Amino acid sequence: MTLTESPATPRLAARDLSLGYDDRVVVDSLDLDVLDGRVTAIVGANACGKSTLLRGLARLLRPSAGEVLLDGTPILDRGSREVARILGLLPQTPVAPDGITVADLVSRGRHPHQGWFRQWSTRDETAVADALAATDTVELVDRPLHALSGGQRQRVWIAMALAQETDLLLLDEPTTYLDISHQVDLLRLLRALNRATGRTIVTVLHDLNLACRYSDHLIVMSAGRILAEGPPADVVTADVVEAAFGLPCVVVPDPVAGTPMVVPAGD
Amino acid sequence: MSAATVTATAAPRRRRASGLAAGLVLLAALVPVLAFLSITQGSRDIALRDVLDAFGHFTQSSSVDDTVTVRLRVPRTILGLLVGAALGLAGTLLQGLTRNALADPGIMGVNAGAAFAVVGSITLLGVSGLGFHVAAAFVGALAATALVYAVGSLGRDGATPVKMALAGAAITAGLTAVTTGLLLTDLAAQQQYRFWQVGSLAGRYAPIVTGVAPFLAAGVVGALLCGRWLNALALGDDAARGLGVSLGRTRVVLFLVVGLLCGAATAACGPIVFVGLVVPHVARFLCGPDYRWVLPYAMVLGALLLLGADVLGRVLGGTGELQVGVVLGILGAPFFVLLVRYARLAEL
Repeated sequence: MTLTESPATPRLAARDLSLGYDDRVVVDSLDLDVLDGRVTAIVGANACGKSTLLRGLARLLRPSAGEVLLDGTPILDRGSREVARILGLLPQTPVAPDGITVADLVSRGRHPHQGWFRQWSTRDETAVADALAATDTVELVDRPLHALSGGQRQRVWIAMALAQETDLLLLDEPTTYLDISHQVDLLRLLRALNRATGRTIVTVLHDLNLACRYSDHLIVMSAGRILAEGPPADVVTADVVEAAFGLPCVVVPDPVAGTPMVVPAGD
Repeated sequence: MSAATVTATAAPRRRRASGLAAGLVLLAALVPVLAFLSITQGSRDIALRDVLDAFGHFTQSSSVDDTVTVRLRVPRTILGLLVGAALGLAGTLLQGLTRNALADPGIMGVNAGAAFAVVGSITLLGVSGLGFHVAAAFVGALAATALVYAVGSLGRDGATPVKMALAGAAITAGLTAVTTGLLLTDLAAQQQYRFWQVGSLAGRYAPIVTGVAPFLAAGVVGALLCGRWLNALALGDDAARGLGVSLGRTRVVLFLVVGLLCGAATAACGPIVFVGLVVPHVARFLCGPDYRWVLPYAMVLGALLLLGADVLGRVLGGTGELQVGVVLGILGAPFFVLLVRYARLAEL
């Protein structure tokens, strides 16, 4: 896969987008083209608006100004079910009812493809089976979700989002609460999914080094605006990190992958 | 890529579905048994042969036994089944909608609205008679539900579960205060009100049953169609929207169905607590978290519980009868305590 400039009309884009809660502006007149078929990571300091931006892109928030475009149409003008067949979402803290099994949870990803007159089909069965296989959770199907470890559970949630069979997948801090090895596992999984199916993935991440290593495109946010965006190697410099996080640092190449690695400076 | 995986996931799903279906059929088979008991048992001792005869040759001039059977026990049985099913479903919808394991029709202002309308119509409008009370209660219950929804959906996030529960509690408190105030100053109204207020299937003649039955039936059908939505809502508001659920519209529809079910049930029988609270828990305990199964289970269990309690009240009460609301409270509370203590109930 080669990294070229984005095509003329990206499937998901923000135009002059402002988002906020009550009178507080969190995302401020922001323009963004999500690169099709790539893994994009959104990073930034706490309260910089990265999760709010993701929620806006996923139509969970109504813009106070501007709009989010899905395939060129304002996303809020399209039917919620129709959007859900194109764009999937894994929220930061999804809840699961007590006693739900992995099979049941992953099956619920089929919701937008079903209706009162179109119940469970072989297409649904295949989508669920593929999602379980892709996330390596086939052995867990009959287990209750609450009996799983944090890493397994997060893979199951991703399986649910995959079963939705959307071309775009947005994830809000999917690695939170996971230890380092499970964080890496999960990001490898996301990248593998992208490489295997060409699915567009946008994820909010906390860890800058992991974001550099596992994303094709990095968006650094600061105070509700995009401070810098591009391939991690072009974007992550000591100046940008200091401007975004207020942390004096040295940027060195990651000894394994060669991607930028941020090392705090000034002890 | 995954023919083997498909079989691996599809086979347990089918096994599970047939198990749940068998359980539902088994429970449903108890309904005619209970209905038979309800028609043959009562404070008036009527021989089984006479009960059966009553259906064959019923006319206006028939004997007292025939009249009791056909004009009282049959409508009472039908009403008990319908109202029980309605309350079981309404409780399930409310608990799913609010993701609150303690939600029951009482907290949504339904009972308070119905009670206020009954008392208001007695004291302020001077109407009397069970038929008027039923009509007033239905209007009051629907109006209170609408008010709770309207107040609960004020503000930025719309009708969130917490705001709806708070609005329900506040409106219940307000309406109850006014109702009590009206009753305290009117002794005659108290006399009429206390018979409606206790929650009973007794004395609900055929016209009342035929009056509320269409609303209850419509609500039951509507509720059974809501399983898909409740399944998505159970994953949280954000995930539900991600799956394509339009939150505002879904909440309005669910609330409307709940209002229809509780309004008609409460209007016909007075406030019956407990069925709407406990039945969803038992249903979830039996069949797990998939609402497409929980709803039909709750429907059958609700019908069985309400009619069972009514029959029990007639048998235990001897010539006097215990009202179904009283039986449910006396037997239901300890049963629920045991259930909570020994069976791990599912959290929402």
